[in-house]
Amino acid sequence: MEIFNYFFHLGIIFSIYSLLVLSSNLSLGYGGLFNLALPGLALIGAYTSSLLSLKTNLPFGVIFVITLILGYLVGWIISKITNKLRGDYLALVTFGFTFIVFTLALNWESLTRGALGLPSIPKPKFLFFQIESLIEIFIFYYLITFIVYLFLQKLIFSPLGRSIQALRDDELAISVLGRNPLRIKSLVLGISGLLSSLAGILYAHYLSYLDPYSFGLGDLIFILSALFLGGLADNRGALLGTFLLIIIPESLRFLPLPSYLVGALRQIIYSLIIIIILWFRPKGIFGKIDLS
Amino acid sequence: MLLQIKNLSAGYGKFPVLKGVNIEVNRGEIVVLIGPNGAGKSTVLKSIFKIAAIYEGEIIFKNQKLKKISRHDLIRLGISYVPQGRVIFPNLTVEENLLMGGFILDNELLKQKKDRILEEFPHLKKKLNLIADVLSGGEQQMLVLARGLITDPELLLLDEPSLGLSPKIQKEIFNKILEIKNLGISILLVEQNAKKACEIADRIYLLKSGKEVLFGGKEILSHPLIQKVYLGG
Repeated sequence: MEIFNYFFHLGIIFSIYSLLVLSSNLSLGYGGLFNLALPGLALIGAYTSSLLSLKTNLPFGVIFVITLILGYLVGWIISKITNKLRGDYLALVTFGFTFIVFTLALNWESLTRGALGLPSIPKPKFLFFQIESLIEIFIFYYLITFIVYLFLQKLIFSPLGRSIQALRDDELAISVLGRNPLRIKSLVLGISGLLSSLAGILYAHYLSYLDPYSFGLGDLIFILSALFLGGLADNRGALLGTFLLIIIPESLRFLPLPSYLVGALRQIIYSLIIIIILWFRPKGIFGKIDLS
Repeated sequence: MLLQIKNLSAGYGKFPVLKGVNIEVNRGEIVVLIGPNGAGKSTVLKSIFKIAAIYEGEIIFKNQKLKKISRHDLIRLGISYVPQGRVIFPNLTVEENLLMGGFILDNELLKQKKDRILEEFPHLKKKLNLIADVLSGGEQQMLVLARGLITDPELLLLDEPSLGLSPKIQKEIFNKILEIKNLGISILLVEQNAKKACEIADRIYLLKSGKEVLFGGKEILSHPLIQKVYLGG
């Protein structure tokens, strides 16, 4: 039975990180926006949902919706602040955003309890249905991930999705065709913010504990590695990349290595994967866009 | 008259490029803007399409002043702009590139227009599912021309369509421009290849330092100024 719980746990982690990688695929893979704010947005989602659950009597469904709207709005605001930035400059500013959120979460102790973190975050509850057991959480999270995947596939193959991909290829060309590239950018970063905060909600309410280190640089490396491995601009690739990057390092558990080495080895594996892909297969497994 | 540009001063930021330009385009004609580098030829097109800033003057299209009309509505009004440099979406397919040109149309109409435009550009029909990046330079230029026509414009603004193409492909492009004219579409053409462009022009404007210094029919080709400076005669 324990082995099943272990696999359910891995499955849940996969669904949470899939959301982050799909979110990154939307902004970077399809939209060409090097958005490194995702861990920061996930932290905002996780803290908002957790604090509202712990400090108010609002139903989880309401908290869920409020947090998603907030995630969208923060993504949208980032797009407005960075409306003239692309490429490395956008990456630097959005990475700065993640760092600011982390610093706030760490130092605003009266609200977040800082490094002590927030314990006893309740499990999700919709109306009268308490999602408690591992298998219930597994099913619920997979349902959400599946809906998000279908939504993104529908979006990408719509006329709006073509415009999002066109934004990646040539901003001038979009504007001479009468589309407003800034509006498309806002939409992409808004949806990306919403999906990242969704991942944050699922994470916090699954583990029942949250601290400022829950989403950080390590997660950013994971997200980018999974995305590059699976291939940019293909949602199947995003899911496959996430799956492989969860499974491959898990095998380290079965090697006779001291535990303090396992964490460091994971980071090394992620980084090595990025380097190897950039070198030998710049399009990743399924990708359409050449990283080089 | 389809398009009238009156006393237009325009440029980028605080730097004026055009200093009181007057240009007219009638229905069904090809008007060519020629002149040396930096004369402001492309800026005329960019001013019409709201890419350059307008400081003074008026642009009137179908008796409507364009000052307060958004770029999006310019397309609805019947203006299409094909910028220089073969601006395609390299990672989208040829079909997706074409469809991008007609986002103001509903899906059904867009499909009809796409099918019709492919009759005009049969070469693209065979390559619909290819990524646009793999097309040759001439094919990419045909693609942006086709994309510019998908909304059935009344006025096509063409900026340097022959730039960087071989003489053989240039000839094909100029023939295609004549075919477009024969569809009843007016064309305002900016071209470095002044001699070739003037051959297909109904009227020609010579721009120099942000002003039109000479205009008229093909007869101005023999004007000493053009002969001396631009055609090397």
